[in-house]
Amino acid sequence: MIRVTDLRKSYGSNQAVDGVSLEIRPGETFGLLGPNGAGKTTTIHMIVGVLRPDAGSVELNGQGSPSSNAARGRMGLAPQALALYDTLTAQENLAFFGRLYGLSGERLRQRVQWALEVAGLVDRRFDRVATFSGGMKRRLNLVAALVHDPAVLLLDEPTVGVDPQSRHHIFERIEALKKEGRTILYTTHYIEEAARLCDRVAIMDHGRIRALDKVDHLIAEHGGHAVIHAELERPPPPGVSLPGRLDDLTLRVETDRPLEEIGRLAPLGLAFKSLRIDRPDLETVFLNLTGRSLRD
Amino acid sequence: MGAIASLAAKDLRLLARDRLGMFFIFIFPLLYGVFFGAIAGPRERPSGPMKIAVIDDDRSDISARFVRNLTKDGSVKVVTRPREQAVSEVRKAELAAYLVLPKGFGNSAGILWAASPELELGIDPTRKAESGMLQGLVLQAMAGLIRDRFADPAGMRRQLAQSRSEIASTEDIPAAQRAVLAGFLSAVDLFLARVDPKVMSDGPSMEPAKVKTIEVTATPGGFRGLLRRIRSPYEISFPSAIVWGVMGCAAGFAVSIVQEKTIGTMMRLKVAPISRVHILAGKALACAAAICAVITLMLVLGRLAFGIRLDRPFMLAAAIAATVACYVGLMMLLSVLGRTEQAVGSASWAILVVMAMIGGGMVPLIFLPQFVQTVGHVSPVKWSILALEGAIWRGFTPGEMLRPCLVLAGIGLTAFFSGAAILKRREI
Repeated sequence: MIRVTDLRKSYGSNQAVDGVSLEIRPGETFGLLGPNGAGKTTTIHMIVGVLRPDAGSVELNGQGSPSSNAARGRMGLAPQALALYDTLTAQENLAFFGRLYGLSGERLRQRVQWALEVAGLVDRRFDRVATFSGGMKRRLNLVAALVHDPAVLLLDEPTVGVDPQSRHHIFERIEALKKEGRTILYTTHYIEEAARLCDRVAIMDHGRIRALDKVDHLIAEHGGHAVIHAELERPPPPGVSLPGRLDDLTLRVETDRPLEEIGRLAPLGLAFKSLRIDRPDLETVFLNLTGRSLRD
Repeated sequence: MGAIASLAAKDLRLLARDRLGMFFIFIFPLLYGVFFGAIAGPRERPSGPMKIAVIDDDRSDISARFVRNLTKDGSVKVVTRPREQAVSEVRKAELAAYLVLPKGFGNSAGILWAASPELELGIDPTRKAESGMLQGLVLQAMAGLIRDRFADPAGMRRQLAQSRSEIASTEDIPAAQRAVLAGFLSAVDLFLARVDPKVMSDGPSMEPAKVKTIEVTATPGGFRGLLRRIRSPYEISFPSAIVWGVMGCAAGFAVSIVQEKTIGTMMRLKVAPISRVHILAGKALACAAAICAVITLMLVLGRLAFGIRLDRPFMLAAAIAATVACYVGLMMLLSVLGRTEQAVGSASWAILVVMAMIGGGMVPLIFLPQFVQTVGHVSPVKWSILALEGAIWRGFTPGEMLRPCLVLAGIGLTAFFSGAAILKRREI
């Protein structure tokens, strides 16, 4: 378990992290969702102990400070930057990082082989990283954090700048790791990633956590209503009372139960040119909480 | 220890795959050593004679004897040129100098009581050291003429008679002094009338002194103070060349520390269950290994191909150990000079090149102005070269070797801990 209490960090006048508290349960995949500059990476760096917080505390698995060797040995960090040696091969990179965690001999060989398989780089194991595509580097960057078989995995924007194929590959691997029961802290600014992978999500902005819960609960709590957008072929028959707002031939209805609402519209003799339901999602949640879009 | 070895092995592997880095650490110093060894320094065989032109306007037997005296020991080769051509060739550095023997040279040259002939020596201003030597050789040849005069009593007596006649007729000298001079010349005339010419030709050379030049080194393992020639010019050029390779290692590894930060791998190292001491020790070990490899390679090649003496292994080991300690420490300090690879690389080389300039890494200290030699004491390059030379050809005793080694170790330790402290403050 990771327990973070009132974590604070500033750089000059910039308050990068401002009183973050959270608790990540064993086996949970926890998401930190927020735009660039929200303080996600700074938080992760304080959790792994490479950055000293101005205030607050981090406790890992009841072992106290994350700076202890015992705690570090149980963690794996995949940094946002591609932290690899370009002139070493994939295998050499993994073996080097494995050795830093005390692996050697047959155990090291097995773990490197496993990591290469997870990354889908077995055939490229003897190639230098400099020759890899961006997606391959990103996959190797991920498994370099796994080679020592950590119980706690911290993934800092692991899919930034990768092609859809590699992203899909990474998602599958993370889901597999999740099934293995590893504790994962996942930072991202992609809503679909947080929604797909994370059991709980903390929405972060300007160094603060704005909301923290399961995705469904966040949406229910902060997402607002679903919106039905209907475009009519002709004006509704006279005397028909429509829910929502009709603008020319476009009907907009906000509702918590969009399907039931559509069921009520059907017998009214309306001719639909198109019909769309916009359900609230994490983007809407973020918008409602911060007043701006994640992509701003 | 395993983590430190892994870190060092990784860094050495990265170095081995950096072709440009390998060139500047291993190939460039070798080229430097071979090049400067080939063109400079003392040689087993003496260098060729100094080529000068003599313009003999006197064309006398005495002027011919002077030229013979001048070329007798092989240091000078005389060519005959018209004056204008001689001047032109000196200006174009084709000749070291020209010497004009004026008309009347034979009348007074080698005669102690006569007015000295005025010789014109035209020199190339860039070869002042050689011109100084040439002036000495000219005076030596003139001294030879004095002996030649005494070896020809009949000719000398004719000169004496002429001189006595001139003194008797001159009004510029007081009568009393004329009588003293006439007495002296009569005594010399009497001496020449009685002396056996063979005694004079085999007798004293009339040279004020005979100067024998030798190059001073100590015999390794032998008695201190014994003199011996340097066996190979590469014994002088290789220590400087080695230090260039060593500086390349220091600069390269300094950049590698900041590079770990810029590419993000430092983050992985910091989250691994190893301490900062491990990380820095790994860098230091890799740098030390690379420096040892450079020095070993250079010395082995120097021994096999260029005859450099490696017959004082313990002294050499002390010099190498001190050099390693110094430059590993400097590497650590250089790594905090900037926050980007470009900044650290540029600043490192700027500092190291200045150190090489004032420390004799580019031009031997002896050729530098005195104030530069004094300033050079602060340069580790000077002490590294001195320690290596002390082990290779200067024949330092353990006590003499202690001084450069202690200076190097002191610089290294100070720099290492200063750099490490700054890195720690920056949270690496």
